[in-house]
Amino acid sequence: MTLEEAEKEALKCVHCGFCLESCPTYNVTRNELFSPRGRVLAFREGKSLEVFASCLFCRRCELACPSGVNYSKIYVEAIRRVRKLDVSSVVESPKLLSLTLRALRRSRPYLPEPREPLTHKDERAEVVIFPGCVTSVLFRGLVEKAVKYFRAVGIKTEVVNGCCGLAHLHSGNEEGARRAVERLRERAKGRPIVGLSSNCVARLKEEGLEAYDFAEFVVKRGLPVKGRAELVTVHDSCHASHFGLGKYTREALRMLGAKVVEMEEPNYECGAGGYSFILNDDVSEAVSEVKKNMIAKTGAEAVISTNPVCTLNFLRKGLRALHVLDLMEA
Amino acid sequence: MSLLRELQEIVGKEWVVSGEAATLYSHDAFLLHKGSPSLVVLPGSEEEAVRVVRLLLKRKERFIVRGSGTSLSGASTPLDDEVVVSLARLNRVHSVEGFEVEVGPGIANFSVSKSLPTHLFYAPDPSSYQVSSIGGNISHDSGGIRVVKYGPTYNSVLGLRVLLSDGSVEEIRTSPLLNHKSIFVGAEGTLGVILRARLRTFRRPENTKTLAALFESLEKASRAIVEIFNRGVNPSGLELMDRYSIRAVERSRFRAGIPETEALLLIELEGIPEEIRRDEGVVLQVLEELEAEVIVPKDKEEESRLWAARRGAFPAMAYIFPAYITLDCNVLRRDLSKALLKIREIARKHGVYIANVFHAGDGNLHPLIPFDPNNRESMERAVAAGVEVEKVVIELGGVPSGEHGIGIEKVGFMRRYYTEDELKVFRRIKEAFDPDYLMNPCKLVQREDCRPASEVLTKLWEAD
Repeated sequence: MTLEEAEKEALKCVHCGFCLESCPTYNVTRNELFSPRGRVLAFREGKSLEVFASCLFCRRCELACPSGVNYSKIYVEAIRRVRKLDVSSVVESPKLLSLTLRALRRSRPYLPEPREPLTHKDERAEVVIFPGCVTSVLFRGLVEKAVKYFRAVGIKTEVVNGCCGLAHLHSGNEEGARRAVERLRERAKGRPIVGLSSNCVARLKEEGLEAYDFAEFVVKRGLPVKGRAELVTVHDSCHASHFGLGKYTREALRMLGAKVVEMEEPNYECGAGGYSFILNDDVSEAVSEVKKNMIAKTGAEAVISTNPVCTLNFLRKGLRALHVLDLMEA
Repeated sequence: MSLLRELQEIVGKEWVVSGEAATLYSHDAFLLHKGSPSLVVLPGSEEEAVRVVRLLLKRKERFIVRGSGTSLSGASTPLDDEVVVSLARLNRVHSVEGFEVEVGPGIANFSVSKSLPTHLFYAPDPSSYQVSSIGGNISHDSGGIRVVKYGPTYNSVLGLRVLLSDGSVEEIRTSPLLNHKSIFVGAEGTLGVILRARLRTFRRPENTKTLAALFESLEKASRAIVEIFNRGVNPSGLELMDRYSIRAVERSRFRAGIPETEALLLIELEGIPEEIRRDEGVVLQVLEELEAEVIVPKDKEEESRLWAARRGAFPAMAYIFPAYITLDCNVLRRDLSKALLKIREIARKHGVYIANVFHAGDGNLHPLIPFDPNNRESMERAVAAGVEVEKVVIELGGVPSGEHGIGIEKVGFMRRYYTEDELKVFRRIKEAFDPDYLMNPCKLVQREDCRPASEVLTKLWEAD
């Protein structure tokens, strides 16, 4: 992605405003300064680029845009110039990530205790398990369960820890994001990647890697699953919903025997917006509240979240959030 | 105290935008002019809105009331440095009862339908319905696909709460005599500020059915439109897409696999199954007589793909050129064929691409004329072609604007369409409601001191 490409995308905008209501930050402010159209105009005019700082980077506007503007390209180019915090080096190192999270945990008790990422490698491993950086340190239990599950169904796996680069993009670090993907590509050595963080999976798919979300892999391979029958609602995490990954989550849940009650807009942004929720951002909080109400209205016992950052934000809001794997008997 | 400070005291600091960031309110979906608003204020309640507007009136500030900023005629674009009052935050549903719903002006059209019990729907559906505000819809008397059966916004407005220029708040109710509700519908925010609207809704039809027909000539498609009504069928949607709009759509993400042909008619029938069967028989007969190739969508999914193609046709023009002028002149159905052929001639003459995609059932043309905003010559050719299209339509007995409003785009055509006496009456009305011309100045009804702020506007305003 280059400045030129971003400019080309911005020029495609005909200012129709069809993106407005799709944008969670516009929904809670109803102010053009918090809208995709306003941000694109700011970029075009080279004025007030700080309006990008409130963007949660969920890319819902791209789904609503009738003119096919790839907002993502504009966002990355703009946020690079106004970013206040680049988390790239933190997410790349599990140690640094754990330390940071441990420090944050003091004032944010909803964060689980960070743990050492799991290392595991079967001989002649045919499938790569990619937990994603946050899952690897905060939800190690999921990684263990995935390894056990694949062993039980006779699939040899290797766990590859690391980052997909999405957090880099959120900070406008295009180069770092590209390098993160390249590292993964090398380590996967052409083997299929099964991700435990659905937004990371979406990012890898977009970069042309053979990546599957956990539920997607199970459904596509027709693998057997057993689990607890619970009444749940499904949150479609933003980037993953661009690739329609939610339908596999639902199918896997059906196979498990769980009952799904749908919320009003399953792919509505959870409010986390990368790390915005950690910073106690007002807009992020307002969006989180909208999402929480959508979930609460369903009467479900838990919300299924296949992406760790969404999960953390749900925990912060006092919700019971589970991954598909949590409902499985391994 | 400065205006900025006074406004901040009413709405809170974060809801007043000043300086460079106000540029983000410099224009709406009309792309030929950008203003430079001095301030933007976003009241969060009806009470705040009243206080804000009273303050602006007291200080004799010129201002614009804006909803979602989707106007295609520039009605919500500041000409110069007017203060912009955004009512987007006044988006509450105040009540739903029987077939009526009362809402704030900032609510999106789509959100009105969403707030209703499932057996009801709000009928007017401009293509921007997902985002355009009810206040804006009322101020433009917005139409849409369903106009052909349910009428434009006017037919769905029962009452309004309006803030007048003397600072008073009036409840405007439908009255059998000297109905004054009508004056605020289509006033483009030049006569008062709409604070609340009571709307009527309709019962959702049991069933709908979509037929698509491909024609090898515009004349035959136009004849089919007239014949359908002559034989007693009133469709709930009757849209035409010509070769050039099909081409644009099929290049966009709304592609529906429509073959490139002279004209596509999209016809929607609704009602109970017996009614639909009856109407379908009549329509199919007409289509056969006029040698159309009929496509019956095999399921609801295919139906919605076709309608999405229609709704996406405007912004799909971005795949041709990054900006376009959208006209919305209206002719009688029987003159559609003549108008369409003339538009083809005009396109050839000026060397511009003109795509037609419009509400054929009510004769509401939508010639889309794309241009390259970075190329002045291209912009000028588009404007010249647009001016000529309007002239042709007015000569055919049509009106300059069917639903997008006059705004700053079509003020020049007012003189061509209305007599000097009629315009005088308009000005007297304007002066009765807004003697100082503070509300949305230079839109719709102009005072002599309005000056076009750019060369392009000069060309448009001096259209005759």
